[in-house]
Amino acid sequence: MDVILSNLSLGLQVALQPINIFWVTLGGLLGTVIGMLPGLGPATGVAVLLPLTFTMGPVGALITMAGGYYGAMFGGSRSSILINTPGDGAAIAATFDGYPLAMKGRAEAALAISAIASFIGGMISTIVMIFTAVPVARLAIKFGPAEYFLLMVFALSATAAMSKTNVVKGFISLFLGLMVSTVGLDAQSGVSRFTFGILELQGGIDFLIIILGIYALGEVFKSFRMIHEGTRKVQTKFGPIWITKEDWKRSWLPILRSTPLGFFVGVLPGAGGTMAALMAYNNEKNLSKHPEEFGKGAIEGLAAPEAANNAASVGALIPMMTLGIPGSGTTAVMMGALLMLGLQPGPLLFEKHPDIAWGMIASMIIGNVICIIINMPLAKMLVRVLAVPARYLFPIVLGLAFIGTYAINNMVTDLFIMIIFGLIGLFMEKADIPTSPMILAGIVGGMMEQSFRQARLISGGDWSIFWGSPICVTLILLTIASIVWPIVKELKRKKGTG
Amino acid sequence: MTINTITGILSFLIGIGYSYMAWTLPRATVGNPIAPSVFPLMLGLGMTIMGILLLIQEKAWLLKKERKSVSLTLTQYGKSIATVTFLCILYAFFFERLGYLLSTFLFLSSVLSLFNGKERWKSILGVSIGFSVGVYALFGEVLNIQLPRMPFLGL
Amino acid sequence: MKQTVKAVFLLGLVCLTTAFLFGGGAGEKAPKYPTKPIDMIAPAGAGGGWDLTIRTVAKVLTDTKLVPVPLPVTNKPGGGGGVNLAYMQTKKGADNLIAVYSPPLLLINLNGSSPYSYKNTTPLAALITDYGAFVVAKNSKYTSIAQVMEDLKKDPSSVVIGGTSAVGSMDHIQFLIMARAAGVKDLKKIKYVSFQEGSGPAQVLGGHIHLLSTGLSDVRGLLQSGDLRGLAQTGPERVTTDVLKDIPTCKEQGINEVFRNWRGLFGPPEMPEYAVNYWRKTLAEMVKTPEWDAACKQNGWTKNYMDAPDFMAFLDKTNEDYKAVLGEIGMLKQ
Repeated sequence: MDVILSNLSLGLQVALQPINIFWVTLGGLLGTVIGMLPGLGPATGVAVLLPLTFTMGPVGALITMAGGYYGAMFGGSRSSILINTPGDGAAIAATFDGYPLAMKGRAEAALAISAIASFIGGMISTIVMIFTAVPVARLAIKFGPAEYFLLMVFALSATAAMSKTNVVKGFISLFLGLMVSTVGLDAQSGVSRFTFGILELQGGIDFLIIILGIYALGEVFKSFRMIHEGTRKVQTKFGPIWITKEDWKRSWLPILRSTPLGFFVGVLPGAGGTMAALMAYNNEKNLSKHPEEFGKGAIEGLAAPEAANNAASVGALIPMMTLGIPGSGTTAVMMGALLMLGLQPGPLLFEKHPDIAWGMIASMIIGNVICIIINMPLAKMLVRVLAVPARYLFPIVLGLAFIGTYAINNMVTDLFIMIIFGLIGLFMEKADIPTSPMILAGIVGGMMEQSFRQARLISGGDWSIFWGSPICVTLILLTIASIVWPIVKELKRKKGTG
Repeated sequence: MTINTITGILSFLIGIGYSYMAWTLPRATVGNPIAPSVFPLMLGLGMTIMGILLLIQEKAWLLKKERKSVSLTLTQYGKSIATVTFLCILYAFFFERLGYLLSTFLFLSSVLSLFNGKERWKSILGVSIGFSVGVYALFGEVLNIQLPRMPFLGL
Repeated sequence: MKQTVKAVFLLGLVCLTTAFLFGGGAGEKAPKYPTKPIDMIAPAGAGGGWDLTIRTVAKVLTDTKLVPVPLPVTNKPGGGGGVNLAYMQTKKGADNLIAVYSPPLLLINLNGSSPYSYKNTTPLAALITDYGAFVVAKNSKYTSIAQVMEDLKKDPSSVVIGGTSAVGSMDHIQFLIMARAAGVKDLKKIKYVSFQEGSGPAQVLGGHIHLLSTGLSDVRGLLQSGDLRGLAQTGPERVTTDVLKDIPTCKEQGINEVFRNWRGLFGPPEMPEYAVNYWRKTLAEMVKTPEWDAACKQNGWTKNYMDAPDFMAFLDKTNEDYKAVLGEIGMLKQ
């Protein structure tokens, strides 16, 4: 304990140097802006900072890039809430309830809660990281393919409760998402699947593209009717960016529950913020007393994923810092930059360069405060987007969806995929098929199949690998609970009313 | 025909088609030869069954409340949607061929005039030039990401 | 509405014609090169080996003022590099585009996942070599690569090998090349598991796989701390950077084979001669700069400059080598 505190005070000394405060502010600001732009996520944000970091020392570089990383988590949801166009993968879940909230005239509260949840998620995770970075990393490596598979099953099981209207339609949506996730080069066999001979599809279909198609393009399609019927009201009066007591009462527990979940999913190499946010969303829907409000503007449905994705961004730094294993594109860029600056991340980093490692961790405390200070006034400016008349706003949204899609892989093929999914989304809306099972399935599906096959290959076909470890058993129990719980809840409610 | 019938038939067809493609995938040369096909086959089968289930539900009048019949004539919105989709496809086609600046300008001004009518041409021009130049400059100058250039001019 | 669309089209046509009229002259002789920015492409996402290489090259070229124009880096990920290779085919004869590639350029063609190969590019120069490494967890029963090979000879499916690239690509093939040289039969039966980006080292640390086949510099931190044990490196002699010098080569352990993870720069097919000449000259100068030396040292890369003709010959030969291994595991598609 004493060691940790003395390390932390060393870190704070580094982090509080004016130059480093400047760097963390710069990183947070740039991250927020890049996160906001559709298609540009934290990986691009950090890569953009690269040339700049070559001129700083390793401390400055690390502080700035980490700031860019969690800054992007703050920024990504801004565009989800205001124009139904997520800024990056981790902000996908913020469209589910963020945009409906804005349409209900509660954009101020939505923007505020997302910043507050991000702040709390980031802050708690940073503190947890200070005390448990090494043991958490050691726990993460206990996750083998079997554990990954069960984690994905757990993530998906929550969808069982998601489609209340028609279970068959929910499954159609789920299968469609899983089908999309099988497109591309299959890593376990080197076989190209469902690419129709189009080489560009070998890399698979990035799910953000599909979201941009269904949500951004879909919103433009819908706008014709809204403009004609005059149902889309332009908001002209804006209140302060803040939440009501009632909002807070509904959100605080979901935020606190989603933070550890997001943090741990973030620590797992290969999982990441998108999955963390979606899992948090589903869990909250599962646990909520009024799940029917989810998707229609439930404030806790926005707060939970926002806390989770910030927590995940902090968690993702742990395997890189303590093991030298970059578990995501973003941390891989950061690690590359550190190598170029002559610093080797790994278990010895904390011993050999405590000032750098602890300096970065301490700077995250400051960085989170700075990010929320940046984001509140920014939200006040951004919310005015809602005052833009629909006839200008929607063409611009369309333009943003295209540039966002292109920026993901720099590929024109993706533009066509987005258009196709815009049309599919239109059909699904007409046919009352829920889109959220498809989205979740598409995001976890690839990893679910791959880890299943990895596990079978490793065990040589022995099924017991799937219940052979305490982690496996825990995950199985969690999965059963998440399927049974909503049913119990429903029965109880029926008894109560009947 | 109701929308549910159409959905059922479509799901059924997608399930069958996808299963067929999954079955005809090349066999893996390392490890279990059919490993790449197993999961897709399960999905295809699942989708086919769901399609059939939906059709049964529909025929058995289980979905009375959700029953909507579809007319095949395009509404006014339908026409606008078709036009926008067509413009989107053109835009995607010319995105790299004409470069970002020109293709975006053309696309935005067409979409904007669709929404606004020609009378507002001044603001249409303003918005489309502002957006295309703004985004191009933001990516190129601030983020150092090169968007497709115009042919010959190199802009 | 229709008229608007029509008008816009007309406008487009006018713009296009103007572009042709104005631009037509400049493209013909091109005495001065380069005058416009050159796109530097990493055919993978940000953060990988290709990305690091091309960013380093762009940085050194800019810092040393060898190239006067901007060199923006673009990531075109997908298909183990195949997506960008297909893109380059649409840019035949362009002079403003350079991509970095390494062994997968040949492998994805030989294993059938891409119809294009190095022959559909203009090789400019080889720059560096990184070597492969085979590592195990510190509590593993293996202390030398020879022991692993012995076990494989008895039962080819007794050791689980992991890596980051897909089956039939680099991490897989570099191990098979060594196994073949060590006399392991039935290469097909060797279990190889491909992991998502970055999670390979975590899997070997956690004891989920027996051995990780990876890049030498990818696991330096864990080797330094002793959490991972390096069984072998694949170069002709040991790389001397810090902890890496303690790992014996395969050759030292009686496996007479070398695997090079070479990296080089490639232009699009039919790149104009003036551009090819310019880049050959510039890259030859670049590899002599102290900035380049420093960058290679920091990344643990071995300098391995080859000018275009030598590089082409090297590629021809290497392609044959890979062919043999892929043929043996039945992954050769041709």
